[in-house]
Amino acid sequence: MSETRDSFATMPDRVDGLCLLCLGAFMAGLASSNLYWYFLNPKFRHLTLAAGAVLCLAALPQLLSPRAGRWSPAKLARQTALAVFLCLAMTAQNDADRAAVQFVQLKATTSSSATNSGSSDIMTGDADSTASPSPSAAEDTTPGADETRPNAPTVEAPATGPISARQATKVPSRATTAATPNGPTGASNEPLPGADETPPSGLTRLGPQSSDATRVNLRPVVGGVPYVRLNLAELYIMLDKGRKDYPPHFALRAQVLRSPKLDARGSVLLHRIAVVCCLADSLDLRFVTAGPGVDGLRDGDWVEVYGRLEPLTAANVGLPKLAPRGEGPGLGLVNPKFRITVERIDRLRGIDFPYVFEFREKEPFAW
Amino acid sequence: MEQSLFSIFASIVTSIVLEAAPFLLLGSLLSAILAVYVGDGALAGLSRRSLSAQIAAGLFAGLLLPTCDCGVVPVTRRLLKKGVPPGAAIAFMLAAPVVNPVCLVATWVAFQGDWRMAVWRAGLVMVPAALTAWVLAGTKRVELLRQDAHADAGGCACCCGHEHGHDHEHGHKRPPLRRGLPEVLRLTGREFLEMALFLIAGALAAAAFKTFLPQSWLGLVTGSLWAAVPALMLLAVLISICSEADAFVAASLAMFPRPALLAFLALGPMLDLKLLPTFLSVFKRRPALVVIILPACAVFALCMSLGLTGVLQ
Repeated sequence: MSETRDSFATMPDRVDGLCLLCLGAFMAGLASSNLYWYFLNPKFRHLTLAAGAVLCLAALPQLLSPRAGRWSPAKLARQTALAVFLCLAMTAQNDADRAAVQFVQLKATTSSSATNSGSSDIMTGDADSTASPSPSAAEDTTPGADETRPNAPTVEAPATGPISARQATKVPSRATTAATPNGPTGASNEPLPGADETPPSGLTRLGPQSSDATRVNLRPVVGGVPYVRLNLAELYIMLDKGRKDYPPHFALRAQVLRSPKLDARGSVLLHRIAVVCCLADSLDLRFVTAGPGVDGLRDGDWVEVYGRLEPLTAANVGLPKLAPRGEGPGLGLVNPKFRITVERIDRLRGIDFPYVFEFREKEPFAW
Repeated sequence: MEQSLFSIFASIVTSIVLEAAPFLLLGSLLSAILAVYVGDGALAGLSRRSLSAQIAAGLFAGLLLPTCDCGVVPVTRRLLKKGVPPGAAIAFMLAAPVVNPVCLVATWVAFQGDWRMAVWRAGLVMVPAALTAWVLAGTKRVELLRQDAHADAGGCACCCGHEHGHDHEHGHKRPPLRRGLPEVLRLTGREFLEMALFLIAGALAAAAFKTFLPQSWLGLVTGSLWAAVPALMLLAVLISICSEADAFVAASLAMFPRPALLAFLALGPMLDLKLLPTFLSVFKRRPALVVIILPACAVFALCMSLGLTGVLQ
């Protein structure tokens, strides 16, 4: 009887301990999973893991040697709040897992249809583009490029059952980001006929002097023009700072947003979500984009654009205001002074990490 | 990556809590270490100094004890319980999230090495912090802290292990390091849980605003200083970004005038939806209102003055 009374008296303390343990385990588990980057910049992974471990430790005294106490409204409120949070977090984690699976399946589907039709997905091109394979297609043959991608048999065999994003994708870490610039945004282009066999005649490797430069083409040359690879956020930040030394020709990867108002002006939006710390402070950075081939793009397409910047003139200075407002997690910002003029577009099968987490001020950019 | 609004909401709540939790835990851990290993009178010597010295000590304590806004309140509460005068503790609570090396360097980097933004930011936080500390300096500890805020934690969370009220002095002896560790862990857990309630409540509110508030309203207020400054102050409160990261968001809002950006940077670490319920739960009504209202008014007045006089373009 007295034991029952004791265990009832220590219950509030035990439940507190259980709350800490659940939260700590969730944090440690998420930090160890490949879905972490949906919520936070991967650079914080170890911090979250350590905090989760400390929370589990902090739960031990309350679980193992609980002290007698009374239930109080404050205790109930915090335990309820934690339970609500954990439910929301599990929901978000499941949604992230589902989204990642859809993302991977979309890549597989697009890849399959492109292979069946046998069509190249170069939307437009200069005179040399038909002769020169896609720069990125050439990269796909490099060993470093494959390291950050889901492997093809996994994503192209849905019959084997649901693909878990935890298995299908790898999380970008500082190590992979630094070692392979296509780490966090690693992508695979639509296969071009003969891309695997034909040497990249139209490409020149002019990357940095590191050993990675031999594996990743940071300055592809198309039609005799060298393009600097960078991510859309890096370009946006350079312009935002008023810098004039942005690359005259660049290659970047982005997702397409279409809206009727911009369609009428022959333009689309290219955007990327930049995550500084966590999803709450993410920015959805956008550029109005025009040029041959953009009409053929679908809303949501992932593309690799080879292009240049063009200041918005009086005739089209109002274009950014026609852009649709942000609907995703990031604060939507359209560059008000420049638009991207497309010189060539490759449609991508998709990319492993739709967000960008690293922003560099100079070459080699964290494209 | 098509996501439903609820999914975005849940993801943002999760990301805010996960981002803030390690810092809140660090604050709770510091608070627990202070409670267990620092004697009651160790910090009380500060109260013998002049008020200006107390406030100055509080303003610059963040340089030695870097804390972000997520974890500063439990540390402040513990400092007050340990006898640190309110002038120093309140100044520390409001200034430390910005006047610390990590935050100042982040601001400097975000604004492309423009050190003036970091200096202005520090100044615009220190002035309201000093003002608020000065107003509350004469308040007694029992008039400042709510009783129930600590009574809930198994008494006064003073690690003596028995239930009792608050207004007592224990004359703690410092336990040996190893013997004190379980108590440090127990207190850390309790402090964390207490504050996590308000962190979660704030994250829910901030995520709701971020998900459901149309972004178009931001574009309506960029042209006028009178609209831009309060709008960005409101944004800082609503979206509750950590003080280590908000400079990067501010830097991306280049369409706003600089005084408005500085208002965003100065107010966010002192008042947001995470801190608001925390202040109300830790402090009694009057001091809580002072801590909430005075810095907001001071930031508004300072930023508007700087903008209208042309000091900041």
